[in-house]
Amino acid sequence: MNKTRVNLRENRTPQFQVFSEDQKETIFNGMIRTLEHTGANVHHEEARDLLASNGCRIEGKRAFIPPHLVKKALASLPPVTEVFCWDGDREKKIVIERGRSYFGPGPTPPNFIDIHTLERRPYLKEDARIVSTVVDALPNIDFCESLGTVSDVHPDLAASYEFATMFPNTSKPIVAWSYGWDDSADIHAIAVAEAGGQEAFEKRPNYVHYCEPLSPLVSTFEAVDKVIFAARHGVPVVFTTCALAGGTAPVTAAGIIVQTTAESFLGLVLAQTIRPGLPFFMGGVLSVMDMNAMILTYGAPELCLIMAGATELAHYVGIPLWQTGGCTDSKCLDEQAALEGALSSYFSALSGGDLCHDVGYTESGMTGSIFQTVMMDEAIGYSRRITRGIEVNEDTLATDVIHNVGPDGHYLYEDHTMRHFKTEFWYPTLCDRRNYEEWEAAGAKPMRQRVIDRTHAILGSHTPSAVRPETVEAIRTVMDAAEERIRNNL
Amino acid sequence: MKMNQFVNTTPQFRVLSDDQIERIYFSALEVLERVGAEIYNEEALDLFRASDAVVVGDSEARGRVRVPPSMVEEALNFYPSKITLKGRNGERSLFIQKDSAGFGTGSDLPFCYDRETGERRRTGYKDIGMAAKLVDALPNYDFFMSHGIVGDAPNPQTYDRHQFMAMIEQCTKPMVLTSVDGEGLEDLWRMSCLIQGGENEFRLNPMFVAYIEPISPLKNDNSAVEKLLFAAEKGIPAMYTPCPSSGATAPATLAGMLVQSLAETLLAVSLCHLKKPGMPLIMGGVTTLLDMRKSTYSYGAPELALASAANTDISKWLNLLMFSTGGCTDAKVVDEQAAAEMTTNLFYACLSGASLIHDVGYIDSGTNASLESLVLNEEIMGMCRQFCKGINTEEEYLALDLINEIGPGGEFVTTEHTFKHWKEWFLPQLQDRSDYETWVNNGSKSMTDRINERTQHLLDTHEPEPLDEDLHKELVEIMHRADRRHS
Repeated sequence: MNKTRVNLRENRTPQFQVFSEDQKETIFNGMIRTLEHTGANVHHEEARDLLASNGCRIEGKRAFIPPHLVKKALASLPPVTEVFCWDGDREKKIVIERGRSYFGPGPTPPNFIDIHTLERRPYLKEDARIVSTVVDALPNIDFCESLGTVSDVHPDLAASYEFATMFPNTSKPIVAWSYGWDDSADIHAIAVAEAGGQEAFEKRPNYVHYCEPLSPLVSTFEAVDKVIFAARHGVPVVFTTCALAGGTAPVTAAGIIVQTTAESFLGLVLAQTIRPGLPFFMGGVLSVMDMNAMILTYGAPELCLIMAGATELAHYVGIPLWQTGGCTDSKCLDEQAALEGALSSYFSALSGGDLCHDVGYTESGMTGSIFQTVMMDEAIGYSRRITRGIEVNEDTLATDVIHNVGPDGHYLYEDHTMRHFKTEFWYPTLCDRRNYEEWEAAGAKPMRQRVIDRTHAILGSHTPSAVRPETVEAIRTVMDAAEERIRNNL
Repeated sequence: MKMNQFVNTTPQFRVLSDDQIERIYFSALEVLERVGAEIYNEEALDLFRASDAVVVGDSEARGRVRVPPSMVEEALNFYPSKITLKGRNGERSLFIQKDSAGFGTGSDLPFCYDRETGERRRTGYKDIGMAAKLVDALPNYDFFMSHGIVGDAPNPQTYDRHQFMAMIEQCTKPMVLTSVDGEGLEDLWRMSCLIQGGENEFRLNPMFVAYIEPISPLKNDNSAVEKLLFAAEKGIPAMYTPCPSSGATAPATLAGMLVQSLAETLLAVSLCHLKKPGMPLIMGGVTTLLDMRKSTYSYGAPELALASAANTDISKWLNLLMFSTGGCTDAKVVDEQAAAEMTTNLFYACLSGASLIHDVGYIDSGTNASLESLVLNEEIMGMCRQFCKGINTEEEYLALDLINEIGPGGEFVTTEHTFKHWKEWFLPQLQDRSDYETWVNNGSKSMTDRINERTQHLLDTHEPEPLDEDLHKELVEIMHRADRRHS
């Protein structure tokens, strides 16, 4: 039979777009004009000097970036970036290129939902262990962040303790957060110890660094200092803004994308000036300010829409994007948390956000909840089935099988069914598909209870890979030195 | 002003490429040519016998029909690309056309949780009335299907008339109706013509669409075909909706399920055309899988969302209207699973551009009705609609001058621009965005609590526009006549 086909063009995966090419160009040009004519304030003398020596106009703290420098920075970005798991797991390593999406929690909420009392309380060092262990076990969570700011150590060492606690508990790459140069150095020392030296680290980076400028258009000393640290040490860097449409950015979606892209591009130009080829991610959390509560909403449909638009713009210019998903404004584990988190997870995946963070943010980013992360692991699994798409070929079209079964027959025992049902279908872990009677007999648990049970089960059973003995030693040395540094500063 | 600009005014979403759709279509034609379909209806078989189709039958009333592509393609040219439905209040409110999502409930669920006792029990006349009232009150619902089934009707052979009465008493919106058989559909049609002031008024802007389904794989029972032929004769819009489960009543590959489902649809396309060209036929499908581990026909699986969106792609390529599925779940109660599953399948159905999206509010894999779920979905549908507005990139929205004027370190809260545009955002009714302290002071309510409060509030306060009393009597008379015929 003539089964040879020619001239076929197939959608390997579903196609989703917010912007046309022309719209992306319009927004990109708007960003270029903003960088050239409005500029940004850079609260870092060394950075301003670096920018000036590269051809930027500097007036006081304000830096204006000419278009050709933006183009040069874009040209020096690597087309593909790999971030490695320190235990050498090839399956779990992160490959940044268009069409792949990775998910993980977010940094720095002050509060955490206690996994035993289910109460909201300040975030503790032990929570970093819990979060990293659970993240290590969850199949759809790819990188780690802490979901909190450690409150039970010296405040200046919160980031160092956070990283030191998480690192041995998960081999998945961490996106590290820090206050400035000193704790960035602590973090880097630990990661380098496991990698086997700076040179080995540069070949196989095992973490990413996170920096956050302010909106509108301010690069703080800390944010810039961290970019410089990351660039000098070859650490892939995220430079991301959290802008509020109607608060710290224009109220319109197109406007907030223009402004925040300009903010990220300042970091890009700086990073590429110091180290051409440094992997760089633009960001961030672009959502509307709720005019009643005056908060940045993490559950608005506008978050999904604006972030999808930002992702398309980033990919249009060839920069990977720090997406946002799996987060909620809800204060508890309820339908709101599920629907908002699920929605932003779906659109993060559908738009192809490169690193999608904040999986596990609740209360508009004020409280971290590992339960939310566990629940969203399921939503991400779901969206990954969607983004896998529908395979259309002679075998899947199944006309022979339909012929063999015929009208009024069934497919249960067909060889074709046996071959496909395990891979064609996605099987949930937390979503329940039993019939009512079985569900009732098993305790009639709503999903929130199944989420809590699964979290405890993971913590009771999961054992992460072991770091090298040298790393254990390095963590001790680094943290002793960090404590010493704090004592000397007093 | 820019020239030669191509702008996406709304998001673009597609699962299948044209070539993939064409392959599925060719395969469906192949199935109709080679396998054909079983039909258990004499009139339909006669129509096919008098055509170019090949009919092989072991009796007058049962036969296998194989249809050539030319018949299918001729028929495809005759279906309307737009149907406008009127509610019983005369408002032309539902425009069934490509890429404009109309949302509505599903029908005939046997169970519900009693709002007073919390016990799971069978649904009845009153439950359908309550669902009707909610759908009437909630603006994001465009059409109403009964949600539950009138299980307390005097006779299962006439339950459809009672169900319709329960629906129209409390709801003014256009409807999608199930019926027992051809005779049932005829009564529903008569009742509607009475409300709308005649057959031609009904034909121009009908108040309901008839829901009809074949049995997968490729079987068309007598009552379904009766209904289809009656609808074709009277110009009643109808959807012929296969409900295949991949792995059980359809191939275990999504592409294969789509092929079979399309073959089932194309058979109806040919048949209705033979009966009377131009009938408003709508393509349908609840295309999902049988969960092999739990033996569930899944309403929450990602495959449902994906295959449904693909099916809508196919419908648009064929220039047929699409009756799709969303807002439904396998969860046994309205919980986090329900919220997550309903959110996804609603969004994908809406993004795919289906003309009608039904089963909104189904829980427990299509066995349990839930008023609370209807209320929760109202919020999610609002979010869908907001998302589908897309991003405007006109000068005013790019706001370059504003960014320049505010400058680094400034704020936008007090600008005229913010004041002018912030109301374009979605205003949630059930999602809570207050800060933690305010939330605690207001009683630490979860969304479950807020859904319950809103459901009760709507049931207590909403007053649907009443039916004219004389008209009501005439409608009840048609219903009673049917009861007497079948007693």
